[in-house]
Amino acid sequence: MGPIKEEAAFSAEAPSLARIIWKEIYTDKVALIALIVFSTIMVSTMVLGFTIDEDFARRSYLVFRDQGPSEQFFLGTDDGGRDMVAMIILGARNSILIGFAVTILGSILGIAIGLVSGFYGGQVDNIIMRITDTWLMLPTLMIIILFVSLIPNYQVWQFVGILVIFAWMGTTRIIRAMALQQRNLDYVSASKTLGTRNIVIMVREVLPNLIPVITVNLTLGLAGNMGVETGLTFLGFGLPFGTPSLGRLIAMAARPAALQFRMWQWLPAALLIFTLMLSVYCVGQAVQRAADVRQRRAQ
Amino acid sequence: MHKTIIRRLLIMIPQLFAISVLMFAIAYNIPGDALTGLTENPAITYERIQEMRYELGLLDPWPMQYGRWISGIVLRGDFGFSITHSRPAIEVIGERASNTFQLALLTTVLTYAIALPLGIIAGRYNDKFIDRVIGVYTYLAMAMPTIVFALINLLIFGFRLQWFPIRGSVYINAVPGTFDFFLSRMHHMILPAITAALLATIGIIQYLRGEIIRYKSSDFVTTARSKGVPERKLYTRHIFRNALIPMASNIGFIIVGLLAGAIFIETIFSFPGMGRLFLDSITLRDFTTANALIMLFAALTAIGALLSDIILTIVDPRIRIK
Repeated sequence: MGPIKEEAAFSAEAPSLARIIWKEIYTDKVALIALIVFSTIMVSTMVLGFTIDEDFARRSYLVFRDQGPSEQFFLGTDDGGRDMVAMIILGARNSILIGFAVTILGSILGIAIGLVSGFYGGQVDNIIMRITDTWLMLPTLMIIILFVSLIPNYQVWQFVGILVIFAWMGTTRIIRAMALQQRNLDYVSASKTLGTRNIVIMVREVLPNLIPVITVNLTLGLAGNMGVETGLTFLGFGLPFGTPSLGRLIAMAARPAALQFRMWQWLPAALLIFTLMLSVYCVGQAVQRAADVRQRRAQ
Repeated sequence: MHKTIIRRLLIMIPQLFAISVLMFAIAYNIPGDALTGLTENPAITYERIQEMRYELGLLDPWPMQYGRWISGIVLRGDFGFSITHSRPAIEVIGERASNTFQLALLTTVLTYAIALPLGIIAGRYNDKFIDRVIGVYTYLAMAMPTIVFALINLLIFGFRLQWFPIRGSVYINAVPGTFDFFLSRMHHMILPAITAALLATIGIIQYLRGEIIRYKSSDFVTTARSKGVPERKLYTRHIFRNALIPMASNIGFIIVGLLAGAIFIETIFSFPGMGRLFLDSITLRDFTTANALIMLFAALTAIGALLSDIILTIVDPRIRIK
């Protein structure tokens, strides 16, 4: 009697995705450390970011410019005499927040388009995928730079919007492929026969089955989008001028003198963005394994 | 297959048209034009600048300007005249294009030279120590932003050790055509190329490793093993042959990725290629050149993808592109 009872209890309650992911991360010590590192950086920059007087930190004091690390300035000062510690905290906070915003908004757009395309199939699918393919042909980086030059004195949210316009295609292709598989399954046909509206089938019935894929996509997308923001800001076509960002701090290394002799101005920011992206990727790999039963390491 | 290739090329035409309209509309709406810089010059009056704008057709509505531009491309292969450089845009690009293509070619060669052995070793000895080491490398390379890696390499190998030049594509005194010229070019390109290649290897390594592991447990390998084929031969004759096939087709995507990353690499290493030219054109409001570059990159992206598909059909007769 014992074993049967146990088995019944087990099958009645399937473990939730969050639980599976947590177990996978917990088993993989590298992913666990990565998660702790990322959360620590994120929480501390968010909390410290709000304790810093932003206007004060961003004001330049030419008397103090290009100073090395000292007791007064733990990580030295930048070319405008600003405290590097404050700039790194504000920059990391902005880069992380923008990474999250672009990833979430881009995924929502990508999921919506992919779901419609895959679920309806046929001509709708044909048209949407043609447009997606054309969009994928665009030299994204160049077009974003063109867009950014279009708006004089643009705001942060406008920059996020521009990135979102070019961040959905990958998600769309994956979700569309998954939705194409789902649309012919019995549960969808049954629901259609019962007269459920298409939008309800898509959102309430098909979408939950795609959540593992979406979670993987979100994690890996986060690292990518933080990288895109940093790169664009580095080139001078990213966040509006004056907004602290890791990319802007790294851009100080564009001058040979700073690159060679004032490493405190750019190296901490460079290492921080690398650490952030590395930890997100490590967690992402564990999430990816958790989403695929065959790859799981946790029992 | 010829039919397929022709059809794929034909599909590209409306796609490129759509892109050209979109891009032209954006560029037209960007404040400022190639003559904006002249307003700072006190010797030229505002009326004279407006007159020049009128003569150059810069005051016409954008559909008219677009029509002129696109018909020039289609009818005469003329991408317009760069006012900033006082030369046809295609000439300006042509000078830089060979730099970028040579860099991309060298990077591709290095990428494969690094990735194939590492992928084979990682797959052959999977879950052994050496595979773990290669795994760590792929993790680090995946998370490494191009700009950070490029800056660190420039600092260490360019400024500190002075093994490689820190900017440019060739020494000024080198005479084109000589062997010294070639050596100087290689010397200038090797650091940017290795930087880009080390980051571009990840996809190939991971894919190749996965393929080899998959073939290891496949039926035909088990059969060969049970027939007494030596382990070494099993790998060289049976597993690698199959696993390496898809790698050839990756080349199109690798080149596309390299062109996309060219902007960062060329900026940091001060390499006079198309990526830098694009940034300069945007800063100088030279939209003729910028637009021509975007069209070129879009076309190259499409051709790269098509190239990958064609190579795949050639190396693997089981796959037919439709």
